[in-house]
Amino acid sequence: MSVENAPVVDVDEAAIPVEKKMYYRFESNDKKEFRVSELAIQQSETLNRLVEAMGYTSEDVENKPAIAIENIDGKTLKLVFQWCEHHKGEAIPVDDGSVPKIVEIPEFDAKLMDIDNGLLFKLIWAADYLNIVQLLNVSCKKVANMAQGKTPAQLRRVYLLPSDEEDEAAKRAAQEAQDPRAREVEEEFEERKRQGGNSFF
Amino acid sequence: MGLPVFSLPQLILQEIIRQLLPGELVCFSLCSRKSYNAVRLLRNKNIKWEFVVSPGTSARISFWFNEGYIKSNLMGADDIFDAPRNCQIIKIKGNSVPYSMDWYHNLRTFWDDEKHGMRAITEYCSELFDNMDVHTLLPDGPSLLWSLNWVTNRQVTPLENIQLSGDTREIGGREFDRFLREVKVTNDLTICWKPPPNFTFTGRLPRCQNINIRKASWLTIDNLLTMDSVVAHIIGSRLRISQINQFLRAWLNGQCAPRLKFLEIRITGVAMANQYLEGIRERAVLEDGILTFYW
Repeated sequence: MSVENAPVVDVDEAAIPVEKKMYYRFESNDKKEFRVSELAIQQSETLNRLVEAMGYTSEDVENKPAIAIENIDGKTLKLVFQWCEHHKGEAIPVDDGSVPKIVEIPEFDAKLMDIDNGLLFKLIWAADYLNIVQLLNVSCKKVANMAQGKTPAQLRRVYLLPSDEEDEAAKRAAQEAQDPRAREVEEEFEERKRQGGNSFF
Repeated sequence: MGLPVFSLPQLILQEIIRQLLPGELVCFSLCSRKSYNAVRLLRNKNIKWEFVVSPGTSARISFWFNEGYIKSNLMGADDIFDAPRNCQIIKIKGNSVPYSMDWYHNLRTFWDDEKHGMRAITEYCSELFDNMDVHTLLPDGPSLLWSLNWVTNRQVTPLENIQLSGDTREIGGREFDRFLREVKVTNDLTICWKPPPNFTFTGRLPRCQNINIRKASWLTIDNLLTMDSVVAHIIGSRLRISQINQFLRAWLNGQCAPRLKFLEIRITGVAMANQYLEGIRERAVLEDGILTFYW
């Protein structure tokens, strides 16, 4: 099944599915609405628990407002639900961590994740937030694959890794933001040193 | 645009780090102090990697899993003269050294003194992976004695395996004698190298689980009688049939090799089983067409 054909339905664009299965309605933080099958939702531990707790009937799903997912935008949520629909019914992998992890990225997932790094970043966040184990696995694998054959200098660019100096500066800035007086004290100390004072006090 | 992994939640960063190969983890750790600490903290510590050191020409260190079922190179230490032009510099254990990536995506570092380089990259990787001890040593000829001495002294845990691999390699008699007397290994000792034709060893073979001698023309009946291993493969032996019979009699009578469970001796030429088994054949029981000896 291609990415384009994945059965996520935007309410305003597509017809309501004819199947009798229950389709839940979700709304992204930019007010995009999606219908997602009950089976697809099982891929997300977070959403699965949520809908179980709500105990909606078919009528509730239609009559009550869509379930809001506050911190994920429509573009990202569409990818998430496309993935869930494509992989619905599949077992959720369990990893005991005792052997080196070998994650294969299926063709569908590879196409789905053929996106810019900004959107990939949001997709990973969403997979984590919604606790979709296998989507998190494949998206992290995509990020890990970026390291293949890269030197440390190239890795710094690929993963936007700050240098030690940048880390130090960021740490200082964070400390100062927490305690504005610290900066004043440091400046005063530097000024006294310039003036040749031996003691700060 | 890159992907800022340090802006991701720690659990996601951990997942990414767990999906990096060991060689990629080493490269990642070399990017900054923060990335070094991230590898130390977040890597999957449940995986029992075997730390394999191969000193000598084209020296490299690698991780094996499940006795080499999965192999992953960590990095190498090469001669400074092999360094490509315009190499970038990296800092390892206080040394600023040029580095490059080879065709197989292995990180190569270049050193004035390759021995020092080998030691430095081994210590770096050992510390990165929670002071992991060297598990297997795969030396070449010139590096044999110094690397054995260095690894034995650098750690409390004895080496599990040593392989002197490469069927065409030769080794000097004095050097080989010293190696056999000094080596301490708990699991597997494989010797494929060929000592001089007149070489004999008057000591005891090292005690280990498995001993595998591929060019065993130097092996004497005394070496065999004093051997203390569970599994022994002796290939290319020049032992006489009467000597092998002597060993088998002693073994079955419990007079030597108390732990030995499996023995393979290959000799050149033809010999009849009756000659080997003279005097012990009556101790065998025929079970499903196989002669089985009990003792």
